[in-house]
Amino acid sequence: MTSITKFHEGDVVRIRSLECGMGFQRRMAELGIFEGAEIEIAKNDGRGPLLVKVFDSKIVLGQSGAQKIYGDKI
Amino acid sequence: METKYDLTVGLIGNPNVGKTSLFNLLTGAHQHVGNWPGKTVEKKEGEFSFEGKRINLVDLPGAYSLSAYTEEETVTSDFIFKEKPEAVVHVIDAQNLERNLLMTVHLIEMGSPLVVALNMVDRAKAKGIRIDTVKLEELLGVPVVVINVRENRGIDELLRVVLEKKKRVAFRNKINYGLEVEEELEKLIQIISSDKDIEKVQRKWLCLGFLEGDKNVAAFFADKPYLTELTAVKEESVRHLQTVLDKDIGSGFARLRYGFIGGLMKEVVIRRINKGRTITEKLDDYALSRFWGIPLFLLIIFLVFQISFKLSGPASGLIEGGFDILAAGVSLLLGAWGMSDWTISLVVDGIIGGVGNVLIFVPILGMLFLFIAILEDSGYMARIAFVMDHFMHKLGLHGKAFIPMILGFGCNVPGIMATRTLETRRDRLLAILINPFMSCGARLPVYILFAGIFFPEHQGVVIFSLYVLGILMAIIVGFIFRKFVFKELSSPFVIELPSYHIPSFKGVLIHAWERTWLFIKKAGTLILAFSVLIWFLASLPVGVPYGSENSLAGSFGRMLSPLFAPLGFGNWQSAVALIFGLAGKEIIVGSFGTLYGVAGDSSTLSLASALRQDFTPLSSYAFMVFVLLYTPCIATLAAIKKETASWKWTIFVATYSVVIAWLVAFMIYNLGRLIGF
Repeated sequence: MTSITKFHEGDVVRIRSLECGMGFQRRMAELGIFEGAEIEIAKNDGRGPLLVKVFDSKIVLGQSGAQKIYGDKI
Repeated sequence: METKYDLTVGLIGNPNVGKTSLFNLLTGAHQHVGNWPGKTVEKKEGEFSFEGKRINLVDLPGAYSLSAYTEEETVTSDFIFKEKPEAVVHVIDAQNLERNLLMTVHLIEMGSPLVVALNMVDRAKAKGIRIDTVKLEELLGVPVVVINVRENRGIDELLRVVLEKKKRVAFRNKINYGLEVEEELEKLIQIISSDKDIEKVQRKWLCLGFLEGDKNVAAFFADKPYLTELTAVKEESVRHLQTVLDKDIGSGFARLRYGFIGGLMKEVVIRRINKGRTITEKLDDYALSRFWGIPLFLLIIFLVFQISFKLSGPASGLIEGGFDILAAGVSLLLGAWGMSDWTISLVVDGIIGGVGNVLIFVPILGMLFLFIAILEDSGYMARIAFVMDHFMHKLGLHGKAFIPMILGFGCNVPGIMATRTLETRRDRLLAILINPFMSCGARLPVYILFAGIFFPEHQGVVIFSLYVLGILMAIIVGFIFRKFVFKELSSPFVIELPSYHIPSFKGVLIHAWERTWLFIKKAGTLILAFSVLIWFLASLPVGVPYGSENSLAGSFGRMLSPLFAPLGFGNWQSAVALIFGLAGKEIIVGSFGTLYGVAGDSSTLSLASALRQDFTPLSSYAFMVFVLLYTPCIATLAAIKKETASWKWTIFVATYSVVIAWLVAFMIYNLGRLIGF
């Protein structure tokens, strides 16, 4: 289980856990990022925000938020 | 108010689904913008008639769900739950059906009288997504109408369905949360079923929200007699479900809901794998690039400012000329009526001159607002937030907070108003505190005047350096506030990147006009009042020449001028001009004209020679720096008061900025002298 900030562009990741408060967890869930969901890393420059593909939308996640989301590469 | 309409319809949807375009299409110019009572969220309402019915349409703020995570979402769920509109139109982007349907599911659970409007079907088709709308309608149990807002198709059909009551209360398919959850829900429903205030259809939704820890729902139950019993049962249920679902309730429910939606998607969506990259992806290769992103953004913003200033110049000239003619005409007319010189001066110099000075800026503001609306509508604004996130972290904020900063370059008032999009109070306050350092359009005339006189060869460089200095100050001050005042962490940065599209002409115009009108209204009230006040200061005691050394303003200026002497501009005129500048920084330019007794003399030559006697190039630069940084204008302070809802913070901004301005101008003037300027 690795923080999603460690994955590279094109990696498909299954979310394992979100180590953050209830509010942020719920917001993420509404966007489609919840335990068991599949997301694709669309852009990761190693600094600055991450771009992830969830369903058919692209979501920007700030570094600090993304660091709290863990998953496994599929 | 409400009774003059036959029905009230709420318009709801995720951000960027074409909801506001639909609102503009239906209501046209018949809109009014206000605030939701007690909230800083904008409320947009409009009215129109269809088949003899008068419909009041409420544009609910764009939201991802109905949970009370942001103020926008609280407003939206409150509206549906408490105000009970006759119909709710949920606008869905067909390109992203799965995520959009989550809100549909919430709305169905809430028992709202729902009609789904499926927008952008053509674009979804182009991406290889085909939706069986008949099946979708059948599976959701609510009417689904395909619309195309851009091409104005399907709108009449949508409205007909909205008016047909029967269809709206049709069979609804509800999610089955599985035996374990349903059992727990049943226990909670039992407790509240005796409550006469709760409609039957809403019981399950309320209990779901209570289980999930929704703040809004908790507030609803707060004064119920059965609260203790309900809470006890809920806590028991939460404990039980957390072990059963093996995760927290929020994630568990999300998974169940998306599970339901996923099943539905299999039935209604046919996907053709599209190998080609979309235009959006190709554009984003540059717009979001680590190397090209920021230069591209700088180029675009440079062009925006260039074009705005170039195009608005002639219009500003016309307004200025118009006000000159008006002033001359009114002055003649009042003279003919036998009014005293004093009264004529009040009307002409105080009122007409004061408001005219501010209205000159309407064209430039209008142009900037227009471009900003284009940037927003095209989808590029979200990319700016992405590329600037790294930079904004230095200020302790995230990329979204950059948008208010750009707006600040036009005018700090809309900049400060735009901080509403930030989620936490800490982020909002920090963004508000640094916004006045963004050099607004009103400060530019001061720079143009001084740089034109003292740095004719390097006018552009000097003006640019002031903009950069403003940004540097924002970084430094942001850093200090973060270290000592706002120690808690920024809210996580989350923003959706919409697909690019060509902005709608009408939508952009409406948007730009709304913001410009807000400024004009302010010029008509607050700024007018302040202009009159300044006029009195400059004209009393009776008999002194306007704004002369012996007027109230003049003596005030003489009193304050020693304070400015260490900064290189200890003349009383500067002090008075700076006081007048509180009404609006551009007023400083006009004030110098009056104070040096060259008002009415349209040639800037005479003002230039007067200023040359009191300023050196170095002290003029220190003066420009002071103008950049000192207390924001009265309109900005009013916006700060409104957005922070706190006099304490407003007064704080007014004072700390003057201190910073003094310190920086002092350093620049004295360092400059040491180096030998």
